[in-house]
Amino acid sequence: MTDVATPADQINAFIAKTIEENPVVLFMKGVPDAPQCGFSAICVQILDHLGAEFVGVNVLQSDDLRQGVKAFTDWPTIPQLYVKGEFVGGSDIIRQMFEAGELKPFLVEQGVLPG
Amino acid sequence: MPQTATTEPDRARLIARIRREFDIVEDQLSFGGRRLAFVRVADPDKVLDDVCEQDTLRERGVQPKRELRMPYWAAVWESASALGEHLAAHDRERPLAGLNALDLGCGMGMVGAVMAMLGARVTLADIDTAGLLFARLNTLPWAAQARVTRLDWQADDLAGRFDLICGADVIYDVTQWDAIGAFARRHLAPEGVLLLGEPSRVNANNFPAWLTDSGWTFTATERPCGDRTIRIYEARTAPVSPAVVARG
Repeated sequence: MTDVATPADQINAFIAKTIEENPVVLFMKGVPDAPQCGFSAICVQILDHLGAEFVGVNVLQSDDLRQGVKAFTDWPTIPQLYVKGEFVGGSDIIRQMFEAGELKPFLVEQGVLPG
Repeated sequence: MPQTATTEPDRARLIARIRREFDIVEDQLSFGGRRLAFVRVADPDKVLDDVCEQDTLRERGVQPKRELRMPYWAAVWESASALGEHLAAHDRERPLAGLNALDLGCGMGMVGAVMAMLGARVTLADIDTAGLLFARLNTLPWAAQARVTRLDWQADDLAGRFDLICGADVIYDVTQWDAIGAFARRHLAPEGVLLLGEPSRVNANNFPAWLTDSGWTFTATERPCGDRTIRIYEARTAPVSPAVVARG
C-alpha cells in the first residue's frame, strides 16, 4: 500500500485510485478479517454472505485517510461502500438494501457479482 | 437580533448539559451578511467512535446511553451550509419572515437557525435527540419562534402545515424517498415548497425523475460549496398552471 500519511490531494488521489482499480471497496474500521466496529463488521458480513469480492481499506491506519474519506463524498461516517467507483452508502443503507433484497440485484447489475 | 436577558441562563444550562457528553466549538458564520454563532461538535469522529464502542458494549449486555444509530447529526453537512446560503441569498425576493418553516432532519440545526434568524417560525426536527440539544442551543436567540422536536418521518406526524420544508442531504437513501415525499405532502401548506440540498452524489441521480413520477413540479439549481456542487431542488405538489408557464 502507498504511504497514506500525506497531504490532502495525495489522499484524494489514493482514494480515487483505490475505487477506480477495485470494483467493490469498503472503507472501514479495521480489516475484513478483524473489523474494529460493529457497523463495519455488519457490512463485511453482508458482502461475504452475498459472495461479493471486495477490498477493505482500514481508515484507522491514518487520520489523514479517515478525514479524506469523509471529505471525498461529504459523508461523515465510516464504513462507506463504493461500487464501480461510486459511493453507495454507509452501514445503514447497506443493511436496508440487503434486507429489502435490493443489494444483490444491484451488485449483479453493476457486474461485480455473477447473476 | 439581540439576545434577551432571559435566554442567558438557558444558554448556560444547555451548554453545561451538552458538555457533559460532547466537546464543542462555536463557529462565527455569515449568511447573507448576517452573523450566526453556531455551536457544533468539535470532533464528529469521536462521537462515531463512541457510538461504535457502545454498540460493542451492548453486545455484552451494557445498555447504551441512547438509541444507537450512525451519528449523522454530529457533522455539519455541506448541503446545510449551501441551503442556508441559498435561503439568505433569496431572502429579498422571497422573504422568510412570518413563514411557518420546518428543518427536516435538522441535525445541529444550521438551516433552522438561518431560517429563524431571517424571521421564520421554525420547527427543527430530527430522529436523533443528541443533535436536538444543539438545535435548541443554536436557535436560542429566537426561542420564541423556534421549537425543537424528535421526529421519525417514517412514523410520526407534526401538528400544523408548513410553507417551507427544508432538508439538507436527506435524500441519500433511495429507499427513503417515498417516505420523505409522503411526509412532505402531509405537512406542506397549499403552495408550500419542499427545498432539498444534495451534494451531487450518483445515488441521487434519479431523484429528478422520481420527483416527476411522484407528481411534484420542481426546479433544480446548483450552488458551489467548497470543491463540490450542491444541487438544490425546489419542489411543489401543486401542478404549475399552463397560463403561468406561458407567461414565463
